[in-house]
Amino acid sequence: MSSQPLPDEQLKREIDAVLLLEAELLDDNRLRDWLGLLADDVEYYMPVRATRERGAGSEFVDMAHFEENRDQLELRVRRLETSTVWAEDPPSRTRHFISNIRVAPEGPDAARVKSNLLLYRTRGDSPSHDLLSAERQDVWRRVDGAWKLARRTILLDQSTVATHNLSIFL
Amino acid sequence: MLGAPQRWIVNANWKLGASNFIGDGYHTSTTHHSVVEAGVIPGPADFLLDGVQVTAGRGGLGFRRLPREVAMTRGFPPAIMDALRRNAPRQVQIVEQGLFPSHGTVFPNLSFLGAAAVLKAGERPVPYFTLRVWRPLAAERMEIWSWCLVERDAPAPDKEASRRSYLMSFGTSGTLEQDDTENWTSITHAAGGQMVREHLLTYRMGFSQLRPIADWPGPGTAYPLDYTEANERAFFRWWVDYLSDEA
Repeated sequence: MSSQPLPDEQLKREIDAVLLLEAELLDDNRLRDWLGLLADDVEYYMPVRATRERGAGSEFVDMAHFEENRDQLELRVRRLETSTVWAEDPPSRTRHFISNIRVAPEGPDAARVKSNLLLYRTRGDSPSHDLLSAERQDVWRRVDGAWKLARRTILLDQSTVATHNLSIFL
Repeated sequence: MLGAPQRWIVNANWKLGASNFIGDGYHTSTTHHSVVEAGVIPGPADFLLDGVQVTAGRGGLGFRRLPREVAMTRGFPPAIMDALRRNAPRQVQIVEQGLFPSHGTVFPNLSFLGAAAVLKAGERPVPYFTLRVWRPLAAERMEIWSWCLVERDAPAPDKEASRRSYLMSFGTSGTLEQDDTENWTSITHAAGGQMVREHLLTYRMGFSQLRPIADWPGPGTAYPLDYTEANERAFFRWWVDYLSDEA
């Protein structure tokens, strides 16, 4: 007799691979390739977090750090490709550490994915670094056999953001 | 006021933000060149040259001169400008000259800015407005609190677009503000060096040649360019007065 299958192992492997690929593209500054991993109708959202007492509801308020569709992300990438983008020239060094990947299938061609992000960032010759921690809640959709990011909500583990700008993607 | 403010830390002195917003018109040509090149805002990059800079009371602002038909709406729906005419008729005199308020600071550390950005390549810019407080934490560290404000009576899609336009431009992820905070961090770092202690900074732009406008329809002293350091000189004068208890 057989038991119920565990979460789809093949799906988990494929999602792990695409999340790690996405992190590599961002850390290697391959932003055009990163855009290629996004669905045409992508929504990329990072709400502002406030401080709330227990029982007072969600800390995430109706304001954002990012609230982007594909056109907006393309404009951001285009600017990052110019010769006068001082905020990223010299570029930040980033390292996206992705862990705690949790996958739930949603029909045959989509998955809800939660992952933890630790983003390390340095600039210039400063020996100090910025660290951003967040949970990402994604919807990934399989389009012609390739996984594309349809929706990302970035839930930062800070209310006051401890980096001087968000010229990098989470 | 949309939700709560964005709050973030910049390793820079608070006066860099406050003085930038009160009267740094000419930094855009270099600092914000990338956003013009990428089409986030229409050019030219020295877009604050043609304008008016006003020092009034303990504050100051810069007006940007736009083609009159653009200034008359600034991209806002007609109902919003009709409300402006009803509620602020004196200010309408200024707008009808093609001048739209762009950036300003109320001394010491409350600033505002209104501008517009493109959300999709080739489309018209969408207006937005930001209010911010530069909160000093230490001589080389500040926390910025930045709010996005939208017209309460604007239709919901306009409010949504305005919010996205603000995010594209200012705040933590704004493509203009990213380069400002990079600059201010870098300036603060350089200001700790020996060379800076041996040199004076010249803040004389417009000092000897620029005369105030005689018939300005508003309070304060108005200069016929937003490329002058008049407001920044005034800002630092007020600051020195407070420090030396002569305020």
